[in-house]
Amino acid sequence: MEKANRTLPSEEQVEKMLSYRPPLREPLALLSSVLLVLPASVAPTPALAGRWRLLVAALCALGLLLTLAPDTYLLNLLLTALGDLPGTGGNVGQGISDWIGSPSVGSGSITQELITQHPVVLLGLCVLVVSLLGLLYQALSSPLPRQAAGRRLAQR
Amino acid sequence: MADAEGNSDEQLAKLAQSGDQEAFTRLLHSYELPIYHLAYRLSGDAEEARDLTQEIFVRAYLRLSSYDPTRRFFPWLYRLGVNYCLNQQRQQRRQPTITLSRLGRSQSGEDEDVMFDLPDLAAGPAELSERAEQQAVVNAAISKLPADYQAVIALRYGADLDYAAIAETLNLPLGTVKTRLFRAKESLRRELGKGEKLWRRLTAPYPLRSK
Repeated sequence: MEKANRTLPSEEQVEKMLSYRPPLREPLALLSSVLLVLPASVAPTPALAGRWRLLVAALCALGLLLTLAPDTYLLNLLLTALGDLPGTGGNVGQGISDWIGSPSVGSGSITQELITQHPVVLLGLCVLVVSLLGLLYQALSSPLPRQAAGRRLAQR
Repeated sequence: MADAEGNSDEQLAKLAQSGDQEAFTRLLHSYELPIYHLAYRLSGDAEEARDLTQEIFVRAYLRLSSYDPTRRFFPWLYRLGVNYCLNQQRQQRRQPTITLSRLGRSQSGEDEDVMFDLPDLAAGPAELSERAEQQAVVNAAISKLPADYQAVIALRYGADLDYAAIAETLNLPLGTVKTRLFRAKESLRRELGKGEKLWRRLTAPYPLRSK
């Protein structure tokens, strides 16, 4: 035991060796090498990206609501408001299921029928298209993670 | 920590999150040395530590959106650094590679390791050589410790954090940090004690005299 203790380094000796910190050669070179490989358009505005996603999701939900669920409470509220507007009388309140189930479907021009008899469905479809465009824009404008990795590899 | 313009790290990180690369550069300036030393303690090689430092900062930038500005910045960055270094170490164990700076070392055993690390102009050749040997032995001993122990050693002696800061970084109770650090140092002492001859040579006053 005594022999073992003699050969073990003391705590101070270990601490002293652990506290050695090598100097950083050319810190500016390190800095510039990091800055060089930073992608130009990642990280910026994560908050904005989050808000954009939220907006697209809300639009998508509204579009689906208008198109598919004519009897929900929220839609009824909207329809009541729409019903008070001039020119939106009795035709509002029919969702896509009512429209497809109606015997008149396919008898004339679909666009004409949508505009004249099912404005809410048309509105829902428009909102859905806008939200899908928003989704597409977001997907195309955010850089792919592989791009950054590839750039780093190319610079090595 | 605050920069010359009085911005705290958290403010700078928030600015960097909104796309201000200048703010990120200032953060990089403040943390490059501690992160480098942390990486050195976990990799045991100055050149490798340099590469690791670069990777850590790039990762930090790419993951800035996951940083919560209402919390302190340094634990987030150090945690990212420790995890990255330990992951790299694990990968290297699975697929061993040799770095250029390690090519010069002898393959015959730890006792003959020679490190071609950074020249320290303040030290003489004898001191440099002795220090290089010491560090090679210490780094080899550290690499044999469990990852939890390596993390506390690197944060304490590499990044120069106190117990409370280490606890905050690793999300551990203060008592656990103290225990881990104590056990890590005990394990290191035992590991260093195994190479008795080498240890005596390294701790003997320089130059060695042959009897």
